[in-house]
Amino acid sequence: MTVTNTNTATNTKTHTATKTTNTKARTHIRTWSATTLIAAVALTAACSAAQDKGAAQPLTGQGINNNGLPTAPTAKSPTPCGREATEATWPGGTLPGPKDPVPAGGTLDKIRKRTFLIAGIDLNTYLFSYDPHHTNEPQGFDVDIAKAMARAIFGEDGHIQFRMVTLADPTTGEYAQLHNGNIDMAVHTTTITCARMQGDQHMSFSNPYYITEQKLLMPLGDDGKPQKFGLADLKGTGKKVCATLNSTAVDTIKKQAGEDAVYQAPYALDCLALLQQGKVDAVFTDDALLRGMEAQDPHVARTTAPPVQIQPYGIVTNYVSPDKPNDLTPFVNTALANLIADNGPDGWKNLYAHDLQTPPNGLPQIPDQYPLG
Amino acid sequence: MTLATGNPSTSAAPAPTGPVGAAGSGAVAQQGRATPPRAPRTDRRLSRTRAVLAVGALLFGAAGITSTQIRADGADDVRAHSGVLLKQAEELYHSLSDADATAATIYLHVGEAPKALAAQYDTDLKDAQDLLLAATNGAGDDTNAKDLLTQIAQQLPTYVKLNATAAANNLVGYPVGIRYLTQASTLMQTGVPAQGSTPAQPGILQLVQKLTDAEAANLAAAEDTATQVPWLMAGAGALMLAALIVIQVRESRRTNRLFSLGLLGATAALVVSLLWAVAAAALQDSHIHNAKKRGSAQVSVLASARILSLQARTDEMLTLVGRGTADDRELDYTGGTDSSGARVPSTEGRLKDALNTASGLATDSRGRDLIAKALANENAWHTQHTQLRTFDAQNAYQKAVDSALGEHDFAAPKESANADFNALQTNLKDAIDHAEDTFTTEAKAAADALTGLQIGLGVLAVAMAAAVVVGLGRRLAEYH
Repeated sequence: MTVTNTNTATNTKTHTATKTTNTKARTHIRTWSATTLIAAVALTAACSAAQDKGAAQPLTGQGINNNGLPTAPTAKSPTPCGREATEATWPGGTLPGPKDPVPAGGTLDKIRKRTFLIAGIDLNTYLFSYDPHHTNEPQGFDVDIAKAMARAIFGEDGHIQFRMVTLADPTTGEYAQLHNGNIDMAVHTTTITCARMQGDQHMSFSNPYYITEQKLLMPLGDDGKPQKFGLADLKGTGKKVCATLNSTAVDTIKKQAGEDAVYQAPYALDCLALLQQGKVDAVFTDDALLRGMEAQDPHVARTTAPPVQIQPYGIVTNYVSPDKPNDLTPFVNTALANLIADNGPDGWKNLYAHDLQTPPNGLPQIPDQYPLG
Repeated sequence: MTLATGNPSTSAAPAPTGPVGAAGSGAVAQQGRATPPRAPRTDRRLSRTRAVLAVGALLFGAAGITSTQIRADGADDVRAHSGVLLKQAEELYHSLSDADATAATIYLHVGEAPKALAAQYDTDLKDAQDLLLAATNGAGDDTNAKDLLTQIAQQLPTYVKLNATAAANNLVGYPVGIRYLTQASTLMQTGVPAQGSTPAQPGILQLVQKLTDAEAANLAAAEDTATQVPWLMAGAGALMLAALIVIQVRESRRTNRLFSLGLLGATAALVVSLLWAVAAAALQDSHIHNAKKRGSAQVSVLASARILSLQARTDEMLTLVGRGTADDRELDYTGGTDSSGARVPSTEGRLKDALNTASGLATDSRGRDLIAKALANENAWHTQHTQLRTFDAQNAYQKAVDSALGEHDFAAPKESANADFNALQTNLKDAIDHAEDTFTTEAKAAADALTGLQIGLGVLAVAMAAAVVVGLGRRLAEYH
């Protein structure tokens, strides 16, 4: 309990939290002991990482999450980057078993001592991570990838806790959560870009676990089949194309379909709602998000026009700097490679087919060049 | 009526003889008596005076009735029109923001909406529709109000449709439902900014706020009219009184009689008229003042407190529903600086301020008692809210939802954000009803204060004119 109190010192509004802990029902004991442990972790982290963040309040802030393409602080003029940026693997290529020694003081050591992994996820991205019945039992591809990482660390299921994180806000979003040690990794349909890795936040990405592209989603044609339009075909037609506010997709639409064609919405999913209401004529965003939209509406489909730009999704782990060694990215890369090679029921292919409701066309390849951002 | 008959005689009678009469003296009067074709000077003067005074008395009556009518119209406007329209606008605001809070609360439930909440949402919308109709009927030729009401009526179906689509998607577990719910709430609360060729859409509640402001201004104007000082009547009364006194003093000097009973009676009638008018006006003023101070002023503060409480409740719910995509709503609750650096006022803080203001305005013990209870509810709710935010931050989402919905599975079941919010709503409603009752009673008393005054003034004016005619008629008879 005292540890919980220490945690509340950084999270100013939790004064009353301890009052009811003595009277809680059994069902919440696990949550609370987990909370206590998080507090212990937060305490250690607070001594280092959180200090320079000032009064950042985890999870209670004002982030506006732009699904898929966040408007996070990024490098102003990123330099091109390729496979070398994410390729670090665990030394020797064989992962340590649950009882094998790991470097003391490292992230992995910390997670093991805590007995569970804390993964930051989104809860509103259909097929990838969502909580359909508001019961805090998330499901989807991102969720399963995170569970696979926990299984790689602990050798069995059940050692994971999910936290809902937002992407964009620099003080409370995913980056701050990672830096403050509130989450160990984020599996959040986050595109690996050079700008994000080179920017002030120094996001540390794994190799891609999913490769997507940007595509156009439109209502089915009169023949009941997907339409053929690409962005350029919509130029001058007066049709509105919806994209996430301030995302790179907005620039792409402006370039290819004209300034007037853009309609910006707070979240990518707003675009589906607007399309269903007839306020826009098309949605342009990551193929992965469009899959989720198709699954929620049988009358829309991605057009058959060629995709625009590849979007590799990576697992984000903690900030890397010379004085704060991060052994999690190499571990995750090796675990990911094992997962992708696994043809069993818990392997990447099966998870993909199960969660995304369609078998994969191929395995996620590490691109020679990542998007600049 | 009196004006029409009075005017010609005043202008006709004195015109030809005015200059001659001005030079009048004892000698001239005697000379006048010797020349039969022209009426004697005193005679003519008296006859003229009598006509002027009689007409003046009727004019005073007319002025009194007119002034009273203006104030009576104002008082009636306060009681039956402006007051009602303002109340309707405030109730419309309440119904709509309650619908918004309820829709978000329903969304947080798994599966079908709980019966009580579904019924509350339906009642809110039905009330809103009824109020829109009633307000449109009552708006008369107020084009500003009618325009606002039309805009509200046009947007309401869109709002209902967005919420229905949200609920349908929620039922099958599609996250797009949350976007519909958020879009609905945005349409209700803040509106949609313009984008490209798509024009901006004002928030429905913003329109209702404009309507409320307009109706409040109308009420203030009606209150001003009802308490307007009746200068016309006061001026006419003063002139009449001065004239009567001067004539009586002159007549008592000219004759050996100390009093003319007729003129004295007329003076008495005038004094009674004036005293009655002053007393009625003072009574009316005090009721109008009370209607405002103990009634409408409190209702408006309490109504805004209730609206703020509903906005805070919507914030609480949408933050939970949004799972990180609606954290701007929590910022609206706590206040602070948004991601663009703009200052966001705290809805909860404004709610507390409004309740404190209402507490200072309360004029009786029941009002004070209800507001004190509401303040206690607000404090308790805020504590629960802070706690449920902590639960959510600590990954105890279900606990946060339990507190928000009042579905506890841990000890002290009465303590929940839901219970405190509901208690706050009950006490605020009672406090508003109490102040409304006071307003209605006082506004009615204000309108009643003028009862009979107009007829009384008319009768007295006629009596006054008759007394003058009869009183001076006796004197005139002495010359024939």
